Amino acid sequence: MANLLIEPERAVIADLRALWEEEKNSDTPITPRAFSAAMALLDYVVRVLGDMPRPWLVPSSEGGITIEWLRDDRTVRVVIPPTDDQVDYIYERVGRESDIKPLSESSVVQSLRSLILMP
Amino acid sequence: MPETDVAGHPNPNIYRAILKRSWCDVRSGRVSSEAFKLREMESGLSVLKAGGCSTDICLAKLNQCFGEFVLQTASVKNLGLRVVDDDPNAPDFSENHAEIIGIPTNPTTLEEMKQVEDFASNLAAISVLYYDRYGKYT
Repeated sequence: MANLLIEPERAVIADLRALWEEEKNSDTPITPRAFSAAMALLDYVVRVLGDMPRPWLVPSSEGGITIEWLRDDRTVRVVIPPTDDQVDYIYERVGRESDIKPLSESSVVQSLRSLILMP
Repeated sequence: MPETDVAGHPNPNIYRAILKRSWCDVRSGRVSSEAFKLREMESGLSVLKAGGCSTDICLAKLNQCFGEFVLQTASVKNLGLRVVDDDPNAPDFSENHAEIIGIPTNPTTLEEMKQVEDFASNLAAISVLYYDRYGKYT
């Protein structure tokens, strides 16, 4: 009989599922589009970076999700809107200086490496 | 519409309803910038001029509200934003309601989205949990 090893679900993925469930009964639940995009992104980031600081997952008032990593005065914030007609983006902030760019999986990894995971 | 603080209200603070439990981090007490983003049809961020909600009464008349954040009106103005009272002639006028004005509405460019994030970050940074309706943050 095959010996099947099932890897335990990463904490951040479990957090996202819990938020999805919690928001289901709210006035503005997380949209399937936002949930799927957030899940795909977090899965990619976990696979590439392995263990990393747990992000703060926050629902928007319209059904989107914000994924935010914080370290000291540095922020990497991924904003995933509820619908396809809005733009996903990454917002970075160090102190009072900020920058914004369109979202891609590789740019999130790059931002995390340079702002959050740096020694 | 008159500026809220110019109108001589006795309370120098304004109060923002907490629509989502996760808008305040239980462990750190940090306030999320998501609490300060406009919805698609909004021209300003709704705030109350006086707190005083209870478990049974939501002054903002929301179906779901986890409490209130408090902000100093002067600190909001220092960010380059305005706080204005409701228009007394508006059909939905409320004496206890005001709006934070000056945040880009329906942003379409990355520069406008950056302004939205900057304002939301700065507003979150000057906000403090004021009322915890369900004891979720203790």
